[in-house]
Amino acid sequence: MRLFQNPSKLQNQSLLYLLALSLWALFQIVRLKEPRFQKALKNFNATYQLRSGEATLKLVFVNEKIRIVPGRTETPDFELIFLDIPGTIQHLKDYPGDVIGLLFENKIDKKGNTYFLSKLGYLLGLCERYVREQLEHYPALSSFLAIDDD
Amino acid sequence: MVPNFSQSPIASEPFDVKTLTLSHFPRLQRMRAEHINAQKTVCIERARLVTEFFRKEGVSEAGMVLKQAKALKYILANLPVPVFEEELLVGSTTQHRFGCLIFPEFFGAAIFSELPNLSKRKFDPVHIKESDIDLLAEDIFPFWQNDTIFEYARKKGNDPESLRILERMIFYILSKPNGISHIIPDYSSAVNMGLEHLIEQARFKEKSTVEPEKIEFYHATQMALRAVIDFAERYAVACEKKAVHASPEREKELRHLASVLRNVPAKPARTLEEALQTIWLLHVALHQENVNTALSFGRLDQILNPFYQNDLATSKITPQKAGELIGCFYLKMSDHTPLVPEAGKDIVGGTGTSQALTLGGLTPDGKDGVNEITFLMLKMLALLSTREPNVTARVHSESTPEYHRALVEAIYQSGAMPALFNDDVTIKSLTENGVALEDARDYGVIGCVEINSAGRTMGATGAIILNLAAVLELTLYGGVHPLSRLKIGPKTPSLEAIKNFDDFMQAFDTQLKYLIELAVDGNRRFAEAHGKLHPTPLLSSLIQGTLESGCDITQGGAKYNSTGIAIIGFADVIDSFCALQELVFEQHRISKKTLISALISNFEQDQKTYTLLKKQASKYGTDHELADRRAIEVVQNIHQLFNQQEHPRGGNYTVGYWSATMHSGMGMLTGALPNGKRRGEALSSGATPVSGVASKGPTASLSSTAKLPYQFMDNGIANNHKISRSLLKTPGKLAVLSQLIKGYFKQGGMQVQFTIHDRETLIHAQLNPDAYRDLLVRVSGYTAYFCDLNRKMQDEIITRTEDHF
Repeated sequence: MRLFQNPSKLQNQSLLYLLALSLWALFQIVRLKEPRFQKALKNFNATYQLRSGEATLKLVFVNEKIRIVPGRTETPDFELIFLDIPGTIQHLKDYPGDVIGLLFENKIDKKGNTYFLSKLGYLLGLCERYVREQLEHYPALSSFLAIDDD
Repeated sequence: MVPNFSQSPIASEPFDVKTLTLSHFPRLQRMRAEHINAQKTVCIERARLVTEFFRKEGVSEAGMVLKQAKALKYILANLPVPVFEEELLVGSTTQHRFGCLIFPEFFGAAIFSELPNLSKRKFDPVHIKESDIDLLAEDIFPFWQNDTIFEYARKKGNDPESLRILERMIFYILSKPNGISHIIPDYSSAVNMGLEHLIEQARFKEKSTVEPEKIEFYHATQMALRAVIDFAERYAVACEKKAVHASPEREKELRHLASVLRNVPAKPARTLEEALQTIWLLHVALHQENVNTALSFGRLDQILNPFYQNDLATSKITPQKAGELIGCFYLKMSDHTPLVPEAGKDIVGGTGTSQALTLGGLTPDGKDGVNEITFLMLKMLALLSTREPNVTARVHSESTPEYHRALVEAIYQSGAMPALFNDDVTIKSLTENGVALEDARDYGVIGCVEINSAGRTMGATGAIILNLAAVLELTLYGGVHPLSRLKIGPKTPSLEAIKNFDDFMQAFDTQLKYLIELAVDGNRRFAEAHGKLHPTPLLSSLIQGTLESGCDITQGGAKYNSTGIAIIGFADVIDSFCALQELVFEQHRISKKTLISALISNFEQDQKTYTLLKKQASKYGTDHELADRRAIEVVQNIHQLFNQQEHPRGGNYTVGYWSATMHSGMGMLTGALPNGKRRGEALSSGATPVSGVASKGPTASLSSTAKLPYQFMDNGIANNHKISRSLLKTPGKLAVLSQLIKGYFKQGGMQVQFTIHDRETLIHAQLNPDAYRDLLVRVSGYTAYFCDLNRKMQDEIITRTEDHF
């Protein structure tokens, strides 16, 4: 993480895509396994625009599927502006459901209805719960996944 | 409201109250233990019912007063009506013994992202049923997403700056998105006249007007009041059902309760028991209409004493039985608590519902209002020592020695309550801001420590919380906030470009004025949203003035209208001003460049500057002329700046100096300051001097606070003092404490509150919370269980200046 504490423009773009792809991958796994996650996607159609510096992409929820779409749109349902991607990742690692805390700690800025931020947080919370339950079921997995912070 | 019976104010303590111990109340002992060990559980019934209703009826601006009354009627007609074992008063805020309500039309969705893991979160886990998670996530929160107070204001204002700034929580917090709160209903009218009489009054008014909006309002209030009467009948039936399978003794109690509920709240109360039942059931109903934050009780000893005296005279009650009823009432107040999201734990973590109760003080006609119920309520407070109610006792220059003694004994026994308010300046604080003398004498404390004329004021006393330290930072850095890098202020010169201290203060004023304008703008938008989307007909029917005006309190119908502000970081800013004036601008012992560099590095690279700032500048709290003068000027200036702004309901702005736990949370978002505060450390609490700087002892500290001009602090203050329990155990020390308080009030001090614990006890409690679940402390306003507070707030209390005498 220390490597990315003051990211360059290219690193910024890479981090944004990495974050979005990681989210997408996590969502895909949990969507397949967790019925509640599937229910959360039902009737939920929204375009989140994710931005970091000049890098922009969209996380699109439509027809119970999730897609990453490069580029920007003038009319997203919600825009999430990352001011500190490494900090965001660290915060979500410690408090996965606490997306509102990201605002207070100045890790993100936002444009749009806060409901969408809470909804995204809910999906992350479902992922956290899924991972926690898997680790409880398979304790060996937690040793395998243990990562040093530094 | 003239009571039914002649009041006999008694300033001396009744003979047997002093001898009462908790062992005299085995029922209360059991109920208290159940409360302390109860699992906090989310209750979604209210959220489910209000959503069902508005799904059918639609959310729109048209006809909302009547619609809200219909919504309340629907809720009260369908809410579960649990009757728990042993209770002598019925009515449950949620369906659980200890529950959390959710208000999806307000800030309820703040908990949305935490729902899947709510029962497992590290800080403050809350139990929630799996089916309730699903209902909230799939139905309730999605329904309200575009119709919350916040979203209405945001969309209508096209994403205004005032709301975008609000979301950062660094500069100010606005509480109105979380509902109408911080108010005292006129329970006296309900108790003494009965709801049927209030309905009749509204009906008469409805027939006497042709204005459609007023007709709608009067119709709505009648509907809301009738809904409460029907709610009481549902509880009566529930008691009778439960009686069928109860023990003979309990059956008798339950059938008696049913008969009580068939009289009140429809008709006037006849006994102390009926008066308490009226108040409690109304309180429960009001919490189904509005958020459970700081809905306060007002001067209950004044309301209840006539009933108590009559019960005694007719041998219907003994003091012990009265004590048991009061104890049950106190424990009922503890049946609910706010649901605080993870993000809020550093700001309001550990908070209860701050339901304030006011004892003693002058009557509206200027007599001493202390009576037998005052002493009994104080005693039960000390015996039970629960977080609710948040009790304040009013004191004046003629208060009796017996009363003073009872107060310090209660403070000592409970460790935290009551807080004390000085009538001699508090009443003047209200009259000098437009409140009639009789009404000012009838003030009650709300929530933490705010003051309003009870039962007749829409005061919104917790509406705006302003971080004064953030204003200082904007001034130091030319309109840029250092930690967040937000450029929100006007471009004033940064410190290095400022030539003298007067210019610095001018720049500070510019930044302050701008932030005030933003905060007021945001508050106005939310006030408008409430007026349009969420009028409150039941609460309005219990506030004086609305019957005459025919207008909901959200639309200015109350007799008195105001908006309350709390200032955070006051003492840190005063001390910083002194440091800047003395050490930087006048004595030149620290250059501006050095200071800024030291602040940015959090003093890590400049211990010398840090020591100078901490030790060599004047401090508020040491009875120092410069610091105290600066404090007075700031208090005056802030009040004047706020009252230059237009008020949404035609009233005025009231300013207070209290901080709940927000001085800790906002301190985390504040950088290093010129008074030597380090980045992330808690700010000073309320009007209290910065911890550790009151080097001249409690007398000097109290003297500084006593000098603050009361007329500009009409939203109350919290002056926090900590004394070790071991000190007060020493014979004679309680009397010294009493003298200290009297001296402070004589000097003009407005308020003081105490935490009475040894430092070692607090540290031990921090390490072994399970053994200290019920340890009470005073934060900066309300009372809290120490072990419910987050670590930073606990540390702040542990490191508070400890008074010695």
